[in-house]
Amino acid sequence: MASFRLAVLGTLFSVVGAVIVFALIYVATGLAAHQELAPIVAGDREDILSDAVSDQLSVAREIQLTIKQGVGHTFYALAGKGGNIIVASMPMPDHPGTWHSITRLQDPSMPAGVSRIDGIGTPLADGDMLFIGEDASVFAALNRHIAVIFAIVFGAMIGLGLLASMTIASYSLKRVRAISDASADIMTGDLSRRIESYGIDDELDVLTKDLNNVLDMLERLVENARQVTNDIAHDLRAPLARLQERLQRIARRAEARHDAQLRAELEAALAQTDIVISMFAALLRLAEVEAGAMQGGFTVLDLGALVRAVGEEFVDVAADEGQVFTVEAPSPLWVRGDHALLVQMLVNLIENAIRHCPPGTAMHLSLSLTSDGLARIEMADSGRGIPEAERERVFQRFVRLDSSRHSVGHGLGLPLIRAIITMHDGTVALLDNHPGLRVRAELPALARFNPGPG
Amino acid sequence: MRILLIEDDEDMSGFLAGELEAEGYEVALAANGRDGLMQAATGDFDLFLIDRMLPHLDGLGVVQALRSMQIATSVIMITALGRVDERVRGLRAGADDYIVKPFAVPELLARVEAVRRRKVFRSDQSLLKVADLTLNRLTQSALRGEQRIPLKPREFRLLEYLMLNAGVVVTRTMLLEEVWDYHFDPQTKLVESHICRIRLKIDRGFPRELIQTIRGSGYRIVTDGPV
Repeated sequence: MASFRLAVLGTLFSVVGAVIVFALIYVATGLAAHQELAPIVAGDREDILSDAVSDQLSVAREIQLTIKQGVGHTFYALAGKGGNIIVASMPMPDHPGTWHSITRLQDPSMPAGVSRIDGIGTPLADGDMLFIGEDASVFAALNRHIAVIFAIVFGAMIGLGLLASMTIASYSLKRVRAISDASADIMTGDLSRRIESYGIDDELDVLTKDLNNVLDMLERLVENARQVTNDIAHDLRAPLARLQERLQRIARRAEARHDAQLRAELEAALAQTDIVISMFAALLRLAEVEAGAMQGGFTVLDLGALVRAVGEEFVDVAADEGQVFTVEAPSPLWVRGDHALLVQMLVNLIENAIRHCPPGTAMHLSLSLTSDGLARIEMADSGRGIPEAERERVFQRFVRLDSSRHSVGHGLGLPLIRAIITMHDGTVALLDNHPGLRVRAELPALARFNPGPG
Repeated sequence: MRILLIEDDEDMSGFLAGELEAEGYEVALAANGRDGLMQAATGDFDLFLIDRMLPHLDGLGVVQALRSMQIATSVIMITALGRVDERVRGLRAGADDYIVKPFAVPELLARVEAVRRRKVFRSDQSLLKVADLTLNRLTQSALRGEQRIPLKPREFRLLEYLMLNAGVVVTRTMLLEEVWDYHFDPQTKLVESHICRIRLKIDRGFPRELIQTIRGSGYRIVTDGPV
């Protein structure tokens, strides 16, 4: 918006400039008129006075005669001591002693066909005041013409200038907005997004180029960090496979020697390698989802049927843990999504609750269509919940809260849920269920297919 | 039964060959894709175990070449690539099964047996019979002796898979992949819970338990022996 203010301010300066120039010209034409007409007025006055003396008439009479002769360009006004008009062919100005430019605008009682009279008054020897003025209509016309030309030239200049600066302002506003939109996208996690450059090498393009360079670096760094974890996960699989294979070989030998104790030890060791392997598998799946954000494996599917089908698989699992798990989902509720990944997301969501809640806890998985067209999946439990301060942290890889350290799990469940939902253009939030935890995942529903909410 | 193992990691192939031989299989080894393809095309084998990443010609290439030569011998692909789309590519190329490294030996043995049996056992019968248990695949219901047993859809799928592989150990991972279509490792006792429910339905009150738990491997439904 600053650029719009700048445009308006610039226009204002131009207008003030134009007014000053016009005023100077106006003053100059006024001076020119004075220089031109003052000697004529003085000559007329001398003529009148000397004619009056030579004709043995009063000045008033002489003026009357002159007016009658119809000397077209000169006008007279003679006033007595008290200000009473004795004879006049024009109105008498208020302070006649100074040079005057009287326009029809100021005094409509001006003689016909005359738009401006310039002149000066002189006190006579008997105390009367004689004002003599010359027709200055030419100068008035000149001023008018100048004004019109000024209006046209400067008006056009200022108008076009305003238009141009507004256009430039809205153009740069658009580009700044593009930069800020791109930044917003990048902050939500789309690090591959770049700001479009216009290729015109102006300041904004230079800035855009620099910002894109910064983004390249940022993406490289994040990608490096991610790649390192992924490489570790991937490269460690081969040695891990060999470790597992060796342990299995030793276990077999221990069995052949009937060494039950050693075998039990080895089974415990193998169980640990299983945990590491499952952790790596989850990490690689997370990497796969994050990298595949652009891949198409999306189909139109009924999320209601999916939620119910997956949910019902776990009712007995929860029951075996002494928990009560219920599922509620309207069907059909159509979304575009990757079937396999949505299934895994739902399984993670449900298992997260089952694993972290004590026996006797009630848990509810629900699906609904919100008024703004989102499919809302909610997994609510009345377990221990997560303190508000920790809620963002648990979405990071490998973060496990102290309260769940003793239980199985690899701290990749929630990151994977978020990655899968993000891939579906959705969001995940952790809310308080008073008591317990409510995990809310929302993703766009297909408006064309779904009936309205209700 | 003769198995050809095509694997470039000698440690791995030596170990696997030893384990397979201990189970009574005959094992031949090839260390790269080209040699493996030559042996596979000329020798007489019942099963190929092919690593996905091989020098000279990769595992996918070997399978595609074998299939284009009209060699229909079963193939299990072994891979370090656990991605879902990799699995799909492997199966599409003509592999019968796909096992992700690192795996436990019982997992591999179970899959070898399952693939071998799949060739023998016709899977398009409408009635599956194991001992005195009959599964009707059209009505999706079971009959133990004279007693009718209603099944939920998932229980039917689970029992069907066990019975199609009757006498063979099926692992937890195999059940997850085939019955649930889950290609990840659930962190709860999903499989155990469902097996438990099925046992309550078909085994409780009968003198003989048909579903056995094989420690460290998986589950098996019995075939032989007196009813």
